[in-house]
Amino acid sequence: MTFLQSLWWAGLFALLPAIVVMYLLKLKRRRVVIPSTLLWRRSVQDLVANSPFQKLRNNLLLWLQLLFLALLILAFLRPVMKLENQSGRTLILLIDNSASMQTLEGARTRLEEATDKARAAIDSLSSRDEAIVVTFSDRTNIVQTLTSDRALLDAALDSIEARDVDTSLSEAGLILQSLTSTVDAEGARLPRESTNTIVFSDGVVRGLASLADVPNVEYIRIGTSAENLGITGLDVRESFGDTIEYQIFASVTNAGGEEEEALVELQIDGQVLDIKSVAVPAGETQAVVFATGEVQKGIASVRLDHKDDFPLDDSVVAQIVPPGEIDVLLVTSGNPFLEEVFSIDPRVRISVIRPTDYTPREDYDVVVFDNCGTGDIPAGNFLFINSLPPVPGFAAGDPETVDNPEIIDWNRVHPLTRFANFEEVLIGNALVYETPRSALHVVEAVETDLITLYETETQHIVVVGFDIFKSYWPLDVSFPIFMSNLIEYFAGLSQAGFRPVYRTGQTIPIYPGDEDQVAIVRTPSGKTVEFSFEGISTAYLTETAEAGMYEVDFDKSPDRYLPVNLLSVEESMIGPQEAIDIGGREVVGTGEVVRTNQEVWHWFALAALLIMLAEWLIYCRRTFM
Amino acid sequence: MATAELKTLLEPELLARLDQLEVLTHRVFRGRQKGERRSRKKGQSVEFADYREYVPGDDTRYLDWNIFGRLERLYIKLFLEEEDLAFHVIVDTSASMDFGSPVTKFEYARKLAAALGYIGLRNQDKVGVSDAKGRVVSRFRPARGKAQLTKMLSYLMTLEPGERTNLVESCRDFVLQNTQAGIVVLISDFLDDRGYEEALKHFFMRNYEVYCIQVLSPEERDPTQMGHLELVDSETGERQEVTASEALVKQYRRTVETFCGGLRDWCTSRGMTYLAATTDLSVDQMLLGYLRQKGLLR
Repeated sequence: MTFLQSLWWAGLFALLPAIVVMYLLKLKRRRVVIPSTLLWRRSVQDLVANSPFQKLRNNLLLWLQLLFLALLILAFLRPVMKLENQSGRTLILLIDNSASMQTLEGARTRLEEATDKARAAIDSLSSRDEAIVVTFSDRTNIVQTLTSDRALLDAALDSIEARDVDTSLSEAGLILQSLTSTVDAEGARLPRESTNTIVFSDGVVRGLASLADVPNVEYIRIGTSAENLGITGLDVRESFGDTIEYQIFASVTNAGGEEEEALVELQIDGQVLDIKSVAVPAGETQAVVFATGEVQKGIASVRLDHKDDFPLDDSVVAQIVPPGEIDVLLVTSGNPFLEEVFSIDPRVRISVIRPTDYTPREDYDVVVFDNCGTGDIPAGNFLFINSLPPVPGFAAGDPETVDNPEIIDWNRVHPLTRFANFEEVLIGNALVYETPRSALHVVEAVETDLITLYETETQHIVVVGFDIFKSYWPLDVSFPIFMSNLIEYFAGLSQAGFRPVYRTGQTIPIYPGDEDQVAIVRTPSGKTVEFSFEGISTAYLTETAEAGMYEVDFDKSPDRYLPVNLLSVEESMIGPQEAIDIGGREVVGTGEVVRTNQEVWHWFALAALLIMLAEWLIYCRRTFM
Repeated sequence: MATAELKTLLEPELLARLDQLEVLTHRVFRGRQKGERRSRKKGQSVEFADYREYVPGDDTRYLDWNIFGRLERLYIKLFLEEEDLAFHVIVDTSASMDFGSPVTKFEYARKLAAALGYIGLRNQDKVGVSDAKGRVVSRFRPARGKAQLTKMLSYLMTLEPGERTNLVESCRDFVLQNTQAGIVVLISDFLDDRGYEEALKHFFMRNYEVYCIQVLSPEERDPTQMGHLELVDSETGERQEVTASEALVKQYRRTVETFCGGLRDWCTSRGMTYLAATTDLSVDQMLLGYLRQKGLLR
């Protein structure tokens, strides 16, 4: 048997001492002095020790005791009052455990509130109903498969932990498909009306369209608080000057309804380096820029001196890697734009050769082929401009070129295109080409891919599929930003792949040194993940749901750090959504789960308790004996 | 002691009626003084008993010359000697006797003892009175004649109820102190935790004719207190919590009957006489009716 209403039990148990106290109260007896108690003692003994059975008499106390026992038994049988004429339902509990669910609502987090409400939904199940517990954040996870065992469901709810990551329900559609729909004889999917899907969330969810075909979706709105000031962006850049200096960019977002002012503090290796004040209007983001000066190495931490309900985004960490020289080989018939743009970075040592002079070499960090191809490329990092790399999968299209391609989208979060805005870029002519399936389209036009990234174990290739001379790109600010990103990206790869900032939920590649066999990654909470490099050149850390500094211990190479931060505007905008849009359907949030079955055992228990008290009082008074 | 106080023990009206009574014994006891009762002992009286052969030293005045004339042998005429009767009254003065209405059991026992003593003294019996309080601590030594009445009553007036009943010790001490056989009247409630059997067995040592008068108050026989009670034993201080329901009171009545019946049967089977009295039965009725019926008085 399971006990679902723990609060009621707690209340009833609290009454037990009260009963004990009542029993401890001594019955007030009239004192009478008599000649001798001899005969009374004998009488009492005789009365008690008389025959084991006596004639059953009509006694009020007997009836009360029987009633008490009957009520107690009824309570243990857990009677359920049906409020809705449904049975055999399937309840799908989708519980948001993303970063914003760690927002404090009073003394409790939103996640605790959500699990409590989910527990109330489980309480309302009848014995023939089943439920499944699914959590969603950046990934969807089935915590408890379909069962009617409430103890298992309760335990599953208890085991849910918050993750410092974004929210997305895009994976949930596939998981729920088999539960929420049936396939008819012709293979068409029909919604199963006996399923109820309850989304417990604050409503900031991407990928809600995956629930478009799910019937009977309820949205339980969790939380009320919206006041939050958080750091939603962070980057470490070298400044473009004569000397190498690092600049730390932090974006501060105000989710609240009023302008907020706060101090932002930069620490390097625990030492305060700078403090700046920032005023952020309601709903907007402001940038704060710190210069590290002579400090060129260490762990940087940016903290927001502001108290709010969502402390997770009030501090971020980054890593400043000491600069190293970057050798760039420019294979061109002559391109002053490229020469100029690469020479801005003081780390870059640029070598320019003609296409006919090129022989495959591995001693350059980046090789740029401008308007020329090559027969073969070794391992390394390559940029092909207006030409295609000699790699299987890349092939010229039909037609081979397109005039005036229109840029429709670019990847705004990829390291190559960060901070670059291609909106104003006009291109005269571009290649039309096919790419390998695993290639990443970084900038896309309607007719073709303008910039593509293709990476293998040994080669990292960026293709810019147009002649920059036949475009306004070199004159647009996105050009130096992209090239700087490119150098940074390739330099990072050549420097064992460690980058200054990572985001939670991101898969982080770990590149070992030549002699390293093992690496142990220690998460901010102290958990460890061990990697062996036998037979592989790169390991991938996927357990990055915690924000903070990860430490990588190699067996031979020096330790490295992985700064992982939430950096999500969506999560920092903690105000709960009134409604969610699932594929064009608006589902308005409610505060509580609508109960379909109501357990009423506690009323029986209460009645039993009252009967017992009455019985005790009557026993003491002996009025009806 | 003031006469008025003594009169509370024996009212004049009662005395007039008591004058007609005398203590009746069913046995013949050997007395120490010549009294008004026939004795088994042969002696000097007018009532011829038997003959025996003359032996030198016998009083020649009692030779029966007529027998000598006929048989030529000397015979002495024997006469039944009249002796005094030893009449003992033991009054239980334990604390449990200090209860009851309209008079306490002790008051009732004392009046009864006074009346019996008076009857005895008036009939020239040797009357002794003792108290039974733990052990016999005082007694009115056996004496004869109406002249001893005041002393006896004064002694009775000195008695006060208190302490715990110890019938065994009381009876043993009484038997050791009173060696002369006779009639013993024990007036008590017999409510002793250690039982009455051991106590009464002591009387067998002296071949007494024993009367046990059990005095109980009407409340003891039929309790009127109901509800949740804490009963305190007047002698031991022991507490007994009871809820005096109808069932329990009914059981109590049965217990009292069993207890009294047990005492009666025990006495009867051992040649003793049991008499039950309640304090609402007047002493007059007790003496003139009940005790006469039972054969203690005539």
